[in-house]
Amino acid sequence: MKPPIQDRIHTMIVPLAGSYLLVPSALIAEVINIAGFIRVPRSEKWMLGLLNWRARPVPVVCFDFFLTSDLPPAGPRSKIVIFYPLPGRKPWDFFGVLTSGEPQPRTFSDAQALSNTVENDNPYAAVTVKLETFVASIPNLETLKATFYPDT
Amino acid sequence: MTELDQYLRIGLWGVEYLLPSSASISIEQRDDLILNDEPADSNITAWRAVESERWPAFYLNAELELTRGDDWQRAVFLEARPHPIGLIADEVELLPRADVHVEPFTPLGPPPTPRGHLFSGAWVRGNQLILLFEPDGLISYLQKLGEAENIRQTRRIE
Repeated sequence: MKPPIQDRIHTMIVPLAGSYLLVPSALIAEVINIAGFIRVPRSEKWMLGLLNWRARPVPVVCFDFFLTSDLPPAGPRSKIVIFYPLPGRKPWDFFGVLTSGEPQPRTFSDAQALSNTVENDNPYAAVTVKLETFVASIPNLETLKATFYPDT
Repeated sequence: MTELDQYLRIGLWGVEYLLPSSASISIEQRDDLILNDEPADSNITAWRAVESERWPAFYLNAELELTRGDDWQRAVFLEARPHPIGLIADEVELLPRADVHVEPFTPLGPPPTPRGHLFSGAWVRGNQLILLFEPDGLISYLQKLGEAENIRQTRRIE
């Protein structure tokens, strides 16, 4: 018997330069093409800049840096995934993540489909799961929030 | 003295920034400042002489790093304690608030100054974004440059 529709988990597989993120679709506001963004002086290395998204200034980060300490440049197929504000943040605190390619939607029938986890000691990955031919990390939102907004 | 409900558009090495005009106590022309004769030995580019005080002014590039050069016209002095502190600008323009639509944003990562972040919003103008300085953060940042200058001068005397 098929599991009830409400048990399905809708996600996006987000390709980074050296790995993948597995992100619940509900966290993502939009996937956009790379537009020009401006540098924000005196900011961290992983903070790539600020872009204009729907007439809002939105910071863009390099998630690769959190996983590998690398800062790969944007490629010809790169996109920016715009995330909704993290829990408890201001309504305008959207942020973008640079990808290395087009994110792909993926629906899992239930949580059991995500139970094939692999060992992970990176604080920015809540869980790392094995999917067919690759592994993908589910971002740890608490760690991200503490990194993004350490003074709150 | 500027009106309260205006922004200053400040040009630094080809990049524009905004500052609420209420944060500025004066905008001085280069000719009215005392230029530092030995800029190679100092962070300070110029001073404004006010009675017995000298208010320092710092010249920053677009990345807000200390820089040197002669291609500037004015200095914006911000209200600070124990004395005002200045930011040298290639150009300064007053803009009515009605002409400027600033959207808030929270800079990510640790604040670069003890008094917080350097920016609190941006003016989204077509495809262009112009960062809005947070006055407390900017003052703190400039004061840090001033403290470094004091330490350097003290070491020189010793």
